[in-house]
Formats: sequence, C-alpha cells, structure tokens
Amino acid sequence: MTLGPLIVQSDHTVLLEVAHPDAEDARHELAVFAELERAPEHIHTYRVTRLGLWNARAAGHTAEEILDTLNRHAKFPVPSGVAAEIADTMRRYGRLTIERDAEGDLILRSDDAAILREVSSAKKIAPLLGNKIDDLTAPVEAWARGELKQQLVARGWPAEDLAGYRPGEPYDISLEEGDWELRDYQAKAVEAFQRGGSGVVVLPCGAGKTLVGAASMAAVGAKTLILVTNAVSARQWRDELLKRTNLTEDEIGEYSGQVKEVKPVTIATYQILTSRRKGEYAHLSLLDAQDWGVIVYDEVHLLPAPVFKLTADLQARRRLGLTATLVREDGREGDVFSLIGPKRYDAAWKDIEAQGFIAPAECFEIRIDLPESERLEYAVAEDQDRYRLAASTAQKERIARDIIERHPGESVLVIGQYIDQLESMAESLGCPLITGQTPVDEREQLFNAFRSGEERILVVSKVANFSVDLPDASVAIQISGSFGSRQEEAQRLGRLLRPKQSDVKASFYTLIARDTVDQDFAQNRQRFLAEQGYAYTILDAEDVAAPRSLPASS
Amino acid sequence: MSGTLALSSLIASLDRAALSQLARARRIAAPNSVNDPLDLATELLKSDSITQALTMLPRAELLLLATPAATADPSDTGYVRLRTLGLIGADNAPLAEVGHALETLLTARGLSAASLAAASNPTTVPAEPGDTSSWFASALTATGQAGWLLRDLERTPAKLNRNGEVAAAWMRTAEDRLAIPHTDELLEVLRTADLTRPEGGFCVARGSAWLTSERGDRWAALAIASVALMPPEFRGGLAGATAGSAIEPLLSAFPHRYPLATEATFAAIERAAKLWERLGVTVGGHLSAAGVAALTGSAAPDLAAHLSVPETAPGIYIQPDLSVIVPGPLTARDEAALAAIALPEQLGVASTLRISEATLSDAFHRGLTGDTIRELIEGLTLTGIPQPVDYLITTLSERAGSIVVVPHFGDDARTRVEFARPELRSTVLVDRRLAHLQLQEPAARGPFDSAADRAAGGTAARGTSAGVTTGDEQVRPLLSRLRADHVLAALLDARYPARGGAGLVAPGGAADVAPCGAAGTAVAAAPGAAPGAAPTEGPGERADASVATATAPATASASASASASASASASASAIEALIERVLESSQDGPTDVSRQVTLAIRDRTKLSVTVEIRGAVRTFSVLPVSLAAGRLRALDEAAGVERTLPLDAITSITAIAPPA
Repeated sequence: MTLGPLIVQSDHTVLLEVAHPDAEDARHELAVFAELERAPEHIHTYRVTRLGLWNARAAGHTAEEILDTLNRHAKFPVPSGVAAEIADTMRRYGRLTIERDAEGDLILRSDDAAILREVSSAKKIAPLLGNKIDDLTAPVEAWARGELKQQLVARGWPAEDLAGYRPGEPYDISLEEGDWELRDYQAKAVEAFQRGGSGVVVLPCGAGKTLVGAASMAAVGAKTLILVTNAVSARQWRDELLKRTNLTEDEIGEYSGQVKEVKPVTIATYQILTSRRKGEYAHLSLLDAQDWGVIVYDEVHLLPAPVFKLTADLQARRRLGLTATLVREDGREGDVFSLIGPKRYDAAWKDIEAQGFIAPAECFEIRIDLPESERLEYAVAEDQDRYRLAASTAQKERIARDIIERHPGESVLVIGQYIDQLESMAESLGCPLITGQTPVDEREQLFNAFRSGEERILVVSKVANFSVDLPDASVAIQISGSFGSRQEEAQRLGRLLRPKQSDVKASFYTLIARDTVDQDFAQNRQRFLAEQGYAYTILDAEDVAAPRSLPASS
Repeated sequence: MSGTLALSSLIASLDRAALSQLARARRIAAPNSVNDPLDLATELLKSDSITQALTMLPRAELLLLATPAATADPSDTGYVRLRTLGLIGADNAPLAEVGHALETLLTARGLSAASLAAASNPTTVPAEPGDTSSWFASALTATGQAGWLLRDLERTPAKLNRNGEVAAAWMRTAEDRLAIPHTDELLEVLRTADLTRPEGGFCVARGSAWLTSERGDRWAALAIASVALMPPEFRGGLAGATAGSAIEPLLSAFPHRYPLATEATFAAIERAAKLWERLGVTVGGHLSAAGVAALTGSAAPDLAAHLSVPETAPGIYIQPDLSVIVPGPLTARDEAALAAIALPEQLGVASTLRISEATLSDAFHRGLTGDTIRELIEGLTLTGIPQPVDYLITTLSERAGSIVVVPHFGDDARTRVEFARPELRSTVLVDRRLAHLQLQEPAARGPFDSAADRAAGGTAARGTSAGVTTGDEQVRPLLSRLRADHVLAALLDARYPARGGAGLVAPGGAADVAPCGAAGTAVAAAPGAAPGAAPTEGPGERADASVATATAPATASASASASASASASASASAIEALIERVLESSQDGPTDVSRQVTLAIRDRTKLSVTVEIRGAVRTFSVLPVSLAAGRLRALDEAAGVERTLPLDAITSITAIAPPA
C-alpha cells in the first residue's frame, strides 16, 4: 500500500483526497478515463464508466496504463473486480473497426472471428451488415455507419471509426487574434479535436466554447454547419464569429424560424431541423445543401432525439460537440459517444476558475416559511399543483427585493419557471421580463440594455438558460425551477460564471419554500452545486435582513 | 430381511459419544417417539434418513456398501465410519434397507457398483498459489456491512415469513437504504454466528457486544460462522490447505468424490464459497492466510489479529454537499457514532455515507439533541462542521418534536397526535396526503378521561411529550385508528416535524414508510438504539406495547413463523433427550423383547438368544417361529429341535447376520 491520494471503491467510484501532496498528479491522470462526479471541498469523487474507459482507449491509453495509475496512487489495493472490469472494458474497444475497402465501400472488420460472429448475429445489427466477406470482415450498408456504431456501443463492442471523413468544400476561415488570443486550454481542446476528427469538448459555461468552435472551424478550413439551441444563441454565434474570425456578414447565414439563409457558414437551430411538415422533416435538405466539412453541435447534451437520428446519417462529416456537461437527463450519453464521438477534451470548472477565466461563485439557499393561508392551500392541493403553489409563494418577491438591495450596483437576473410568477415579480421589481413569447429582436434589445448597464435587473424565464451571454450578471436569484434538474442548475449558474470586469464575487440565490416539495427538488440542485465545489450556504429568510449573514457586496 | 434388529444391536452397544455422533449425523424424523435402540433403528432405516446419509458418503465408502466383502476388516476406517453413521450393523453386517436405498439412488444417477469402482480420480492440475494480499478489503467491507445490517435489526427487527426466514421485503428495503447487496448472505452468517435470533415472529439482533468489539474480533466471529456454513464433506477436503491454495480443484472434484451428493449440498457449497469470498476467507478462489486460520479452527483472538491492517483512520471528512467520506476503517465507537447520524452510500475499506435531513431527524427521534450531535461530529471530523450541516442541525433541533405521535389505549383510537402549535394542527387536519390517517377530533370527554387510557399509559405519554403543550385546550390532540408507527411515518413522509413519544421510534429511517407486513406487526422501539432512547424491551413486549389490538390473523401468522424459526433449536434439544432415553434403555438390558421377537419372526431373522433359567445361562441360535402366551417358539437348527423360551427369561437378543 502506497498511502496515495486515491481510494478506489468496488462500485467503480474513485475518491481523491484533495489535500494530499500527490493529489494534482493523480487528478490529471485520473481525468483521462474517469468522470468527475463531485468536487466538494475535501474529497472529489470520480467514476470509472464504460464510456470513460472507451474515451480513454480512443485517446490511445491502455488498460495497463490506467491500472498503473490507480495502483500507483491508491491508498488501498484496487478491488479485484474493478481491475478486471477495467481490463475487460478496455479490451473491447477497437476490436471492431469501421473502415473503407479498396473500392471505398464501408466494411466492419474484427481481429476475432467470434466477436464478428456475435455482433453480426444480433437482431438489431444483422440488417446493417451485408453477407460476410470472410470470417473477419463484413460489408456495412452505406447508410448504416451511425446506427451500427450506436448498436455496437449498446452491445459493449464499440467500433473504432477509421473510415475517414469527407474533407468538405474548402473555405478560408481564420482567427483574427490581435487584442486577444486563444487560451491555453482552448488551444488544447482544438488540437484534441483535430487529432480525433470528431468528438466532444467539455468546458464550463463562460469558458469560451464558442471560440473553441471557431478555432476548430479555422483548423478544418471548410464550409461549416453550426447547430444551436435557439435563435438568440444563433445570433450570438454569428456576432462572435464576426468578432473573432475573418468571416463577414455575407459569409454567415442563419437558418431558423425567422430567417432561412444557407451560406458557407450556416447557423441553424435544432428546432428548425426537427420541424416536420406532413410527417416529413421539412428542412432536412439543409444537411446536404453544402458540402460541409464540419458540423458543430452546440450544447450537445441537449441534442434532441430526432437530431441523433439525423446525425447517424452524417458520419462521413467531421463533428464537433460542445457542452458544459456530458450528463444528459435522458441518459443518452452513449448516443453522444457513438454518433458525435468520444470526449476529446475537458477541463474542470474549478480549474478554469482558478486560472481566473471564469468568476468564482457563492451559492445561497434561502428557506422561506409559507404563511398560514398559503400553508393551508398547499396542504389541501392536489399533488400536481403542489410544486407550483410552493414555488410561487408571494413571499419570494419580498425576499428577492431584500437580496437585490444587498447588491447595489450589481446586475441581477431573476430566473423562474412560471410565467404568472415572473410577471408578478417583474411588476413588483419594476423591471423588464423576458419569456419565450418575447420577440427575438426585443430580447436582444433587452440583453444589450442589460450588458450596457442601462437595465440592472432582468426577470427571465427558462429561455435564458442556454447560450445567452450576459457578461455582467453577478447575481442570480432563482425563484423556481424545473423540478430539480441538475442540467438546468449548471446552465443557470453558468449565467454568472462569465469573466467579470470587477472583482465582485458572483452570488447565486435559490429561494425555497420550507417543508414543501420545493425543498425536495431544491435538494437535488443544492447537492449538484455543492458537489461541483461551490461554497453553499443555507439561510432562513429572516437572515436576509441580517447584514452579517449575507456576502459582502461590492 | 430387515436390518432393524441388527442396527438395534449395534445401537445398544454404543457409548454416549458414539450414540451422540450417530444421532446428530442422521436425519431422525420423529425424535420424540424414540425410546430405545429398537425405536432408533426403526427411524434410521426409514428411506429418507438412509438417503440423507448416503448422499454424504464419499465414493470409497459407497463402494464398501455396494460390494460388501465377506471378510472385511472391521477396523478399516471406511467400515468404522459406516458403523458410526449406522449404515451397517455390528460386525459390518449389511442392512437390507440400506442396500435397497443405495441401489435405487445409484440407478437414479445412472451409476452402479461397477461404475463406482471403475471411475478413476479426475486429474487435477494444482493451481498456482494466488495473491491474497488484498483479503482485508473484502473482510473489512463485509464486516462493515454486517455491522450496519445488525444495527438496522436492532432498530427495526425484521419480520420473519412462514418459513422462518427474513421477509424478502425487509431485505429489499435494507439493501436499498444501506446500499448493501445480497443481505440474505449476511443474514445467514449473522444467524450462524448467533448474532440474531428468531423471536416473536421477528428476527432480532443479539449482537450488541459484537457491535462494540473491534473489527478483528467482529470479522473473526463472521469468518468462523462462514466456515461452519460450508458442508463438512467439502471442508474435509481442505485439510492441509495453505495460504494461496485454490479451492477450485476441490470444487471440480467434488461431484466425483461424492457421486450421490444432492443439489442442496452443491448449493450450500456454492453459498458458503460466496460468503468466503465476501469475507476474505478466499480471494479470487484462493485461501487467504486468515482464511486458512479460520478453517483450521484457530481461536478467535488469533484470527482477529490478522485484521490489524490497514491502520484506523484518524477521522472523517464531512463536506458541504452533506457527504461523509470515511478514508479508512474506524474504531467501533466512532463507527457507532457515525451510524447515529448518517446512512451509507458505499461501504468498503473506505466508505461514503450521507447525512440528510431524514438521518438527522431520525437521530433526534431517537433521543439525540443538537448539542450531542454536534459534539459527536466534532469528535469525528477532520474538517469541522460545514454550514449546511450545521444549519440542518440547528433548524431540526428547534423544530423536532413539534408534533408528537404516541400510542393511544382508548376504545376510540390507537394513536394520539399532539401539537406544539395550533397552526400545525390545523394544517395536518386538512392535509390531503394525510387523509388516509382519518385524523379526528377527540370525543368531548377528552382522550385522557378513559380509565383504560389512564391505566395503560396516558399519563406516561404526557410525560414523554415534554415541551409539547399536550392537554392544552387550545391545541387539542388528534386521534387516529391506525397504528402509531404508521401515523408517524406518514407525517414524516409529508415533511412534518414529528417524532414518536412513549417509546415509539420512526420506522427504519425517518422518512421511510412503515414496513408493510401483515396487519398487526408493528415495528416499535429498538433495544438501546441510541442514547436517550426509550427503555428496552423484548420484541414480544414491544408488540404488546405498541399494538394494543393486534388482529387475530396476524397473531396466528406470527406464531406460525415463530414456531418455524424456533424449530431448529427445538430439534437440537429433542435429539439430546433422545440420546438420554436410548442410553437409559440400553443400560436396563433388552427392553420390549416381544417387539424384537415379533420383528424377527416377520423378517425370518435368526437370533442369538441368551436366557437365564434358574441360575443357568444359556445361549441359543434360533430361527423364531411364533410368539404366544409370553413364550417364544423357535427352531434350533443346530440341535435339530424346536425350543420354547419364556420371554421373561431372555436377557439378551442379537440378530445373526446372514453370510455376506
């Protein structure tokens, strides 16, 4: 026993003692094959998953290296079951490869006839393959490259895709670095993507994923299709590309509900791509409208199911996924792995925060007692109405006001789920409200006003969750949420994590009705934030009035 | 010809030790009906009993039975063992019933005497000694898991089903709550180690001393029990095994060595082998040094010394996300302290636990205070108390017990709910989630006015609800016809700050719903679960106290399962009594001569009969013909005469075995 910083547990979690002198070394080596699950103050928890191991294998690491890392840094012997499973899982990656034969047709090749026999006899895989060429090779239907990869991952035999990519139509894209330059981690992410050809880059909100996308486009140097979550996000991508690359307005097209332009660089929304007319995907032709050299998937963890299906047909094109988290609430991480590609690069939030590229944040949970009348209303309510009742308590308006008063001069976002509650809150605070109904132009106008400081407080619905760049927000008050979604919590906190112009610490408040289902849902979100390593404090509503209980404001 | 008399003669010649060995090794269906050697022989020659004995025999001994030799050496170890098991008579006389049963069994398995003799030993390649250095990881994990399970049993005795086994529902709940897989395995080893016992239809813990002992001692007790669970036929094959020896060759060879072994034996071996692996007796199928020590019967303290590594952790980490990391084994005292406030998420050499509002509420319900919890955490933690944990302790200590649930012994209800604040009462009264509790206002005369209530504990209940304004006219209690534990669980589930009064404890965990066994199986206070907990009492008493009106079917069910689970110990004492009776009758000389003679007439068994008439003792070899008027009429073939012998003159009867 080496008394190292790692403790490997039989449930495949790995605990890292942060204060241990070898913790940093161990952490860097661990990040190659294990996913960081929790990063609270003293002990970080990683999980060794099949996808994580395959990601590592795809990056060229071997089971021996991984076991060596664990054995070298482990405090206690690595459980034999874990070691055996790591070896077995790693052994499975790449035993099957998707290649092209001399005629350029797709083939599935294995180094073991038994493996090929096993997979080719599977009910869902057989239709994707033709008659075997020999014991080790089978032809792959031209249309089935993506689906085959999906099915092989599901059966535990992930294929290495060596069939290559269509280069796409070359197009000159370059970064215009002058008063700025790619950060070290962004450059590494681009390099990792280039090396792998396709895959996912995981960076926290505010860490500059858009720039990674732009730099990757420049590295490929071909026409590019960018898929984003909504029209506002599309325009922000456009603005960023105009600012950071040599691309001009004429070269960037928007393909959304409002505008339908196809240009050398086209930014489309997931929604338009998946919209149907008479049961058919009406805008599918976009995918072949140009000879795209690379397709960028923004917020890849939100990729809707139909886009997975469409992406299965795009395996010949380079694909770059960008996300803050690989966690999908629908559990389809395997599809991201097989259809977009393995994780190529990631960096922990706290690392980038430590480098000063994103603002540190403190999280506060404020517990509010429901007044007698609301408590009785809650008690007699039907189950489905309880969360809305608890989350929308009028008490939250008063508390939100108190909090805002505690942060004079700071920009504040009030984020919520229920439109009635948001309208009432906006009226009470005398500030603008942005919801899904707000026209895009008006939204942009308000965001600009918020950026310039003209508006100090914005009340926003969940439309602001994704891809909205609000560089000056330093306080967020969450008054209601989507039933404890971890993903939503990450995104909302992300609104505060952009680099700050001053030294003000970002503050993230969540208002909770005590002893209600609101508190139950909040527990999930609270746990997620504390696990990410953010300072987390629980306070009573009365404490908001007590100056010493709250963070020092600027 | 029956072997009853031959076996009876053998039994009559046995001393106490040999008789005891025989009685314990064989299945005796009706031990209470056995009074003398003849009765015992009759029992042992029943088909079931013989089959059970034959399935435990190795190939060589089966061969001896299948091909009896005319001139067998009685001191041959194989014959000695067969006599010990009562499968042959004195002088190695074959027993017809045994021969018949053997033939049937062999045929059923597609075997014969010839094939038994012909089959050669399978060649086994000796396995390389395995690396078992990590055995302690398994040992610590399983010992920790067993500790949590036992603590849970202390708090919530597990309901037994009709077979006397712990109900599957309880095991599932425990597995989910404590993150312990396959609790059935651990329950078996705990029972074998005598750390649990069946009582009043429940499996209750009796391992308080074990829980307070250190990890080595705890492991030793479990390891010894796991060795005892392995069928002795298999264990015997491990004699001479050393650290690193593989058990796989023995597993593979077992069907050859014991060709009549039953599925039950194979299953028992498989179960025990799993337990060995789980407890670190074996690692990857190789015996650890500690495992060998357990197998060779080392004393518990010597065994315990093996588990001296790794070093005890200096403390624990409590983090703002309410997770608790235990970076190594803890002392028994610290482990118990931690168990009072957290639940495990992953147990191992290092463990992960979680504090939650529910676990802290549970600690408050069991009598801990905010100060004691803080003190307890400060004594354990390496990192101080994170603010979210401190907040929870503060708020819960302020609010815990705002609602008190106590058993009520009146005619109109079984549970009384008392409130510290009127607004809580009014909310509870209208809460849709609590509608099924049918909470109602007490009758006008008040809940404490009934004589039965006063006698049964109304005053005590009031006494236990200190700080709650019970009896206050402004905050009158509410009554429910449901059981108190059920009411408490429902209130906690709906997030009300409730606690049990008068010894009632939140079932399982604070937010857990009460176990849904048969009606009338209330789970109440656990013995000595935590400082400040209610006075302890036996499960039977608890059932009496907390369930005032248990329903008749439930009682019957409990009795049935209790009797099933008690059968093992009853059976052991029945065997003891049997041995005493047989020994006594053997000392008194032949008893019930007429039964022996009747048997011999029926089976045409030759007898050696000793008679004493007017001081003269003579022995005849005769073939009995009839019995009438207290006289045996028999043919003395050697003398060529028919003899008539008075039964009361017979001093000894021995069956004469036919030539092999």
